[in-house]
Amino acid sequence: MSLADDVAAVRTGVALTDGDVTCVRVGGGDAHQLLDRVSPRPLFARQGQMVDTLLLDDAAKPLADLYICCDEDDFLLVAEGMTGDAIVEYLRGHAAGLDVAITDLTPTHGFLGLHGPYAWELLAEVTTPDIVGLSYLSFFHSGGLTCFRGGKTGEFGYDLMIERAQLAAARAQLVSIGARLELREISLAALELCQLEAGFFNVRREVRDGITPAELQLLWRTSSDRAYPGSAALAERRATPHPRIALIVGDEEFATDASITLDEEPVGGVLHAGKSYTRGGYIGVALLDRVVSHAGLVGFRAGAAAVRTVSSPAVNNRSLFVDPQRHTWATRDQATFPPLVRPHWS
Amino acid sequence: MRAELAATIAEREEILARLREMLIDRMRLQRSPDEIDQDAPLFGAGFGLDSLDAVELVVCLDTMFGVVIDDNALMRQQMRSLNTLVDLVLAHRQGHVARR
Amino acid sequence: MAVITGYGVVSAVGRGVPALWDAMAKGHDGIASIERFDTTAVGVGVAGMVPDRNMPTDDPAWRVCVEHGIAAAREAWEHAGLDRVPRDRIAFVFGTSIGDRKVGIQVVTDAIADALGVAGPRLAVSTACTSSTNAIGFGLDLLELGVADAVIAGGSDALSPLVVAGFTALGVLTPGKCAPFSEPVGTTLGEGAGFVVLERQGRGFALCGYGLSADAYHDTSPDPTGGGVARGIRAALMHAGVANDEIDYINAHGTGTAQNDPAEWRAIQHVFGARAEALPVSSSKSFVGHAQGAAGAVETIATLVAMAHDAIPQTQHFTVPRPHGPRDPVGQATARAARCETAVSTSSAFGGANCALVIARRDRARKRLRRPVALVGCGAIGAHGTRLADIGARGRVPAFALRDIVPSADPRGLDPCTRYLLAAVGLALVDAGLRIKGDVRDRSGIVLGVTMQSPESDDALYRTIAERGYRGLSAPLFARQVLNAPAGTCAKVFGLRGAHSTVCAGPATGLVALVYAAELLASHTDCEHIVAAGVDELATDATDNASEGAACSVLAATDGAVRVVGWHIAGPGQLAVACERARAMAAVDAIDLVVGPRGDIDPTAIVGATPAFASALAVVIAAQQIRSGAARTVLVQQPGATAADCAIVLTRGVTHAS
Repeated sequence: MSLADDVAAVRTGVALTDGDVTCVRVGGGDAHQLLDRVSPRPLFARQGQMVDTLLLDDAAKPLADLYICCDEDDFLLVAEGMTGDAIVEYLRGHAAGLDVAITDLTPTHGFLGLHGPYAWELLAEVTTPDIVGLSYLSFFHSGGLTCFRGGKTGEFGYDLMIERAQLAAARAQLVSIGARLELREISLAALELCQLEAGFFNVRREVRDGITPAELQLLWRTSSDRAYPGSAALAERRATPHPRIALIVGDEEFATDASITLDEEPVGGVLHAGKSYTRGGYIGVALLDRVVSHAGLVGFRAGAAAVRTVSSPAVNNRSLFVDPQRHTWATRDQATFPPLVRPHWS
Repeated sequence: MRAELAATIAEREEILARLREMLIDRMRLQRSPDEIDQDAPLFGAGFGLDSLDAVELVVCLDTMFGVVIDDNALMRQQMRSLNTLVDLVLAHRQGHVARR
Repeated sequence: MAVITGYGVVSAVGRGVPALWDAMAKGHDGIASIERFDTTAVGVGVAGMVPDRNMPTDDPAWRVCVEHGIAAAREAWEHAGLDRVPRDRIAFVFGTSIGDRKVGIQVVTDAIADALGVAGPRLAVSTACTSSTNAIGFGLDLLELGVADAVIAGGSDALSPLVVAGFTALGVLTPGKCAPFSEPVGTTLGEGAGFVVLERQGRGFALCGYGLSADAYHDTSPDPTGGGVARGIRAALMHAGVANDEIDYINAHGTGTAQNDPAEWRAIQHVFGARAEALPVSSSKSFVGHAQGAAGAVETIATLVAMAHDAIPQTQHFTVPRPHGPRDPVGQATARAARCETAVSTSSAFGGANCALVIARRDRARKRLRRPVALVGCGAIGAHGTRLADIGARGRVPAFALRDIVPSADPRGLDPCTRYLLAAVGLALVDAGLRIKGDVRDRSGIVLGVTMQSPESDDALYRTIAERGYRGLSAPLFARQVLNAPAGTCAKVFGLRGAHSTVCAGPATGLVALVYAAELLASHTDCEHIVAAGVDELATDATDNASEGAACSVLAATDGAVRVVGWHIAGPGQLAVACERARAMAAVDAIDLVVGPRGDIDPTAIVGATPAFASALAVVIAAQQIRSGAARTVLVQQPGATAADCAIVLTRGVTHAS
């Protein structure tokens, strides 16, 4: 089990993972109203579309990173960071007087993940060639599975929801058909490293008490003209000076929770660190004093390691350059792709 | 703070402010400037800009900063977020990116 | 079904049908350097220009468009010998994407119609690149409805710097000659005109049927799965009563862009299955360029003229195939000798509209099954706000939150015209108690009546050109130039993937949209619901006396509490004829109420003389009168100045207890 090979599969081929998300179905006449009450982001979505949003506590701390998916009269919540039970309880807490039916699908449904620049090609064989039409943040039902196109690595990424009874068989089928594409079964640890390289928010690792979307550069997933749990706390935090995250990279190792200094002055700490197999060296999410929380700055130290800030994503996603209408795994060597790491000036 | 660092920060802040204004005025983003996180994805999830907006963005970069993007790869890489756009503008100012 | 008794064409390969055949037989294309205007500061400098008009001129593009149109229409007229038909029994259906807001589409329509002497209805269809294909189909519906004895249908378009700049900005043009289904990727613009004459009997090929659909996907990119195009072709086959395996040739939209060609091929595979591998599929844009609104008509005529010579049109400039494309693209320099019995001609457009025609060598007289039509819901937004009971105010639409009416719609970048339309459709669907979901989406469509693009978007576009030159024009705003743009957004938001069209008819625009919707439901069995709407947006500098707003009625192919039982469109100045024919079709005893100018209730007196809003609102008012019990049968009439006079009859239905 090589993390380097696992990461390479995500970056250049197709990788299969166990699911790291859970799903809750919300139905009933007032389903939209309930979710509109709790989602920091307005639900502009029509059938088949997904909204990338959060669940916050009253202090505006992110509890879950979730997609709210519009499925005709119902909504599917595909979430990371909270168990199905916990989500159901959270929703029920806001459902007073509403006609809603909330069902935790965790007991009956499991997930698999497919990630990589050619992940769509495997899925096209397993579901339908029409998957080329599945836009980012869209989903569809195909036979016994529901395919959500999300992805947190910057590559094509799909979460497949499958009835638990069929899960093993589905996995076997993917592995079998995927052999042609050199599909690699990878660990969730490797997937997490790819997520870090992409600068995607990781609700499991990057949240601390006292932290809100304002620090986490997640204000785009909130709105300031609606009320939702944590909206008051968030508004207050936005109005006061607060630190902000930035992505850091360095050649020497540094660890989660290391202190960060700039010219020997303390300026923050590392929320989440890991090795970057794509870039070489190490990468992390740093929470820095706002004034120095900018990309493209040098002179920091995380613990003893020299680090600098970079723009997100820290790698160049091959998937940006793969066109399912023109490219295939079999002919991949005929295509010229830009390097996986952008020039140093970025 | 080191003068050089302060200068870099000031330059980035200036470009960021102009880019945020562009997003609000030209791309009609209905957001206040500080809600536009500098690492947030511009296309897809973040602000839902699409391929037509990408064209408009390329024109704005030219008229506002004199940056001409005619390399498709460069365009996709550097239009991910406000920060990558700032990187591009700075690289252009420093001569790393071909000038018109 | 109709007989195509004549056709005429002006294209990049010259004037007239013989020139078109000559080019196809000998393998010439008409792609050349654009000389009519300077393209250095605009964009790509080659296109399929009409040769004897490809020199500098003071004429604005719309005048060139009129000229092409008159030439092509006259050739069609002569070919059919239309002098024998009374002028008021000849209709003119004109497809174009010319969008000069100062001039207006009716002026262009009238200029061609007047040159011909057409005294029957003179209508326009403006759905970007499907305009003339849709116009031919609409012409068929009108002929079968009995609105005319001969219909001249087709379209015309002329290239302008704006269009060149817009397509250049979108990155879809190739600098050389386009090679559909081959390399290089990209399309080549063009211009021209084409018209067919449709009659109930005579000598000629048959127009068996047509279909409409919407991708409901994106402003300018087609649905990559080809779903929309497939729906359009299937609807056409259904309307024509023709089976898949009877088709032996497809004249594709085939622009050559990276997005269109594979999607279109996928659609053909969906519809024809294994047979697709052996079906010849070619693109005439390879020799005439993309004549925009006129493309469908020009390419259909290329098909007809080839069929007349026992041939099928080729795809010129075909070298290496792309990874996804037709197995037989007729990739050769000249037309291929082949006996084609039944063909499909298909077009697709910005905003996601699709239209397909079925043409055959022999006629196949089929009795069409006509279905009942009911009005199941309505809504309107205007100076009065959004409550139907409050209708009565004049002026601008007050500020409103679209989110309150259509929660799923992201208001970013929506112009007022689009917001009003979304609101009116949203209100009407709620009033109808109709949720468009599941497969119902494929059978639910929209017909929009509008006379111009959004003034706000239009002004904003020209501001970007003034500030940054043509090279710096705003691509998102250019996409809003096509008149069906609001309908396209509506289709996306509400999932209306069925029949899709946008029509203009002067002051009768809103009512003609309703009539078209009713006719589609009555005679096209792929349609189950159609939202028919009219929208007008005031320019920012409009006078205080003027009004704006949108009114929408949801029609369904069912019986219901409000039945739509009769309709007719007559030529200008023939309102009495339109009313009498509508009444006859309705077979009602008495009319209790007349809504419209010179009627008992005059919407133009309420909201002003707004061409689309007032006449669409008239239907809403009529429906309300019936629902409240104030009237049993209502006649809605609308004189349409130089376009057409229109009438529709609504009556109380018997609702069956469930």
